[in-house]
Amino acid sequence: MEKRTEPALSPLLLAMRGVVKTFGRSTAVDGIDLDVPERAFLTLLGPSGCGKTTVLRMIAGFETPDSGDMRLDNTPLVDVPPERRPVNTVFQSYALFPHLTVNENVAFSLKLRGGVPDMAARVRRALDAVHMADFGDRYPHQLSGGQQQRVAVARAIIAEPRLLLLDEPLSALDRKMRGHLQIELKALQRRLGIAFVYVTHDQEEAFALSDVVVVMNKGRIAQKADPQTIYSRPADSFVADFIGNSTLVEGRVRERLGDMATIDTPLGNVTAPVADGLVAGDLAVLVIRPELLSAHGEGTAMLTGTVSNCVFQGERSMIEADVAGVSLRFAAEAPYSIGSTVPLWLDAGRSFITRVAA
Amino acid sequence: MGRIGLSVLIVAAGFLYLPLVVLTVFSFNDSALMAFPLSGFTLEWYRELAQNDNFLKGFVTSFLIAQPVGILAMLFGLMASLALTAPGFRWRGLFAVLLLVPFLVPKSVLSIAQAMIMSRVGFERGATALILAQSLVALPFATALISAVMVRFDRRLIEAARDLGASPWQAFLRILLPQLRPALSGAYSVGVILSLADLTIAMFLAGRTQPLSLMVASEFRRELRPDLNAMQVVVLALTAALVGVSEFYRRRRLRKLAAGA
Amino acid sequence: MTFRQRHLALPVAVAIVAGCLAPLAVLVAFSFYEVEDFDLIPAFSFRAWGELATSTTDWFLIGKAVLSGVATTLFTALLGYPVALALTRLASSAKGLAIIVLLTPLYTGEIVRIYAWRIVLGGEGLVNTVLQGLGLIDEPLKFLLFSPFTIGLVLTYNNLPFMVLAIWVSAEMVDRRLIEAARDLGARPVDAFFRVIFPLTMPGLAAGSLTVFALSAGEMLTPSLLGGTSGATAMALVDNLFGTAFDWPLASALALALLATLFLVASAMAGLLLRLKGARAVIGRT
Repeated sequence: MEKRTEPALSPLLLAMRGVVKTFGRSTAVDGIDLDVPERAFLTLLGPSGCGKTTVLRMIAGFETPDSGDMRLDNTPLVDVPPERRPVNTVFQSYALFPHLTVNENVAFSLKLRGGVPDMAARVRRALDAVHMADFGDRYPHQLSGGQQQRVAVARAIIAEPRLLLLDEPLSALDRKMRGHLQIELKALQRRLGIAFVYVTHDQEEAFALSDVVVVMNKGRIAQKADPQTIYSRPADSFVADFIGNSTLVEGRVRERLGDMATIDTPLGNVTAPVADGLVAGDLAVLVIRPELLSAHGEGTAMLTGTVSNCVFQGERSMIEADVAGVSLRFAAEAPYSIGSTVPLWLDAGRSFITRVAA
Repeated sequence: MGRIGLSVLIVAAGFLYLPLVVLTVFSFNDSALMAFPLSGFTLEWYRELAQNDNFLKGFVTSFLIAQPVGILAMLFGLMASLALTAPGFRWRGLFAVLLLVPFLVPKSVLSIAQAMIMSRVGFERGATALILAQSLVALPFATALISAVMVRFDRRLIEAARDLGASPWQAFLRILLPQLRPALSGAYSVGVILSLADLTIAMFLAGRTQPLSLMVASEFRRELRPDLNAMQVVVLALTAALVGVSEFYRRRRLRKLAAGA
Repeated sequence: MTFRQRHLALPVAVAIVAGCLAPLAVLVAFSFYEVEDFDLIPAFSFRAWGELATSTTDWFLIGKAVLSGVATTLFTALLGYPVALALTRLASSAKGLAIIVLLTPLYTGEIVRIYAWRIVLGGEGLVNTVLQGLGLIDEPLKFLLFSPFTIGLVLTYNNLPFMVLAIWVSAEMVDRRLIEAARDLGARPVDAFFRVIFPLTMPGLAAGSLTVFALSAGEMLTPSLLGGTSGATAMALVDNLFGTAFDWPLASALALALLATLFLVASAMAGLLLRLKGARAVIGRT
């Protein structure tokens, strides 16, 4: 994965502090602090129910926080109704107006202000940006899902909002279409220079699109960083588990020396980079990404495992091998038969010791 | 539910029920005049009502006429709905329009025309004519009610039954009909209620039969009497009870169906 | 020919044709007959139609029926929209109850409603008593009862549930997220209503309008019993011609003219509503 840098010293567009939202007896958002810099592509990532959509709706104005502070361009957002916020949303279900043509849908926000002088030109530009200029006179029900999604994006950007919110916009599309639109959305964001706040439960999508990924769990922010950091240094076992196919091994920290620590696990003692704040004696989790395990290596193998599962995936196979009661996941070029023994080498220096999630 | 929304609903409900509440209040009022201020609580009018033979006869008449109307509305509504949802029905559109005719043509026009043709043909005005005419008017409502349920019915259930050896008639009887029961009772209720509520058709076609609505109407022009008041309230209460019971039954049925009984 | 499900349409169709269409056809026939000494004579005479064409009273009454229908439709639509929209925001558990509450006044019967309003609007009725009690008026308001106001009020009362129901059903089918999208794009609640909700509930409004128009234009009893001197209706005249005057041809002609006029106006209404922006697109998808 290529390394990504944080947007350098961009002014803060949106700032949320200590925002809480409860519905009845359940707390959807439990005191989060979020910063969205200008021109950033920020993704809220997490399983369903983690609160990411609620956060988005609070930014849009469809939900009001119970407590906490929200500012856009340093102006408080409290009591500002959705129609007066310079924030637009691309909905998961597209929400195109069925009784209006594509052109009319896109022009909607402009028509509300009594129309603008070069409205037709602006509509055309917005549709060009999403490659839908030829469909202006069609009605939404005549378009495919991907086409409707693009029109929804055009409709949202024409008013030149300060911030664009996207609520799982690609989740209803098939894999191929999703891939195309991801590329288009990323390119669009770069061209427009508008900050995007994107919500998804798809980790690959989040990593592909974002400058900053905010992983959420049960209403709280688990980790907020660029994709590379989240991948190689997950903040806790929840994040580690959510991202990718890593194996999590529980253990206890034996000793810590600077950025490294030794953890005592059923696999033995492993020395690896460690998350901040963990000291000797703490319960911790060793995160082993599949690519750090190999069935080939120099010298004698550190571990010996018994294959318990093998999933053939074409150019490689995902193997699960049992080592001292721990099920390790790794990729191999050729399939192994269940029950066979396999020697394993672990690149401990690139694994990571992280805290146990609450 | 915003405050505006709630107040709108309360005002609307107030408007809709105002006359009925006033009617009920006066039926308990201890005065022969239907005027404010109120005089005091009394059951006098209801007592008089219970002893009024005419009223009892009228009530029984209304009731006896309403039952066949309900049944006919239910039966014909069922047939119409089955036809509307039948596969391969080329005349479906035309049939649907036909079903709207008894609804769109004003009752008064229909009844006068029917009266004219009956008198010409020598068909006596009376209970039979009344029943048939009222069933006709109830038909569009009954059909709409039953169709609404039938449209949502999963045809694959019938196919499964046929696959397991049921004849079309058996499939209908054992699979479709039980699901339709709430709608059928609803259609029956609609027929009964429309019959009880009607005056226009009765005016033209009832002949010598005197359903309650006719009785009250003939009194209406002369004076307002509290016992008529009480009469209205009783009819109202009974209609409400009928609606309540059939709704309760319908919901119980729906809940049972949902629970897979 | 094997019995098919669609054949069930036959008995129903026969019943409707015999019960509704045949009488109307007979009206057509009668309108060309002659009358002599209270006896109807089959003939082919244009006498009745001629009298109808030249009678200002008759056409005045037909016009009144149309006006009645249009006015009631308008009032019920204006009152019905807020109620229907408020109903959509009820919790689902409350909606079943709401339907019952909405429709119960309809079940009460024509005479009950007329009777009750007579009590409410009378000189010593509820409204007058309350207004006098509050000191807002000194004399009872005479216009409340036996006037055009009464007719308008009670007709609206009778037909409001139909309009509310029709609009409500349509409004329930409007995707809530479309309203959110509209607001997200800058629409105030008023804008959201006129640009999104209103166009999308057009089918409901159309169905309700046709229903209310048909029902109220043909009303005979409410105007005659509550309208006083202004309560004359075309149908009451038809009734008179049919019964007392025994001029069946003229009665038939008048009834048919009324029916035809109502049909034309209703079609025009439907056409107008369908021509509104995007209505076709919505109906096509419904």
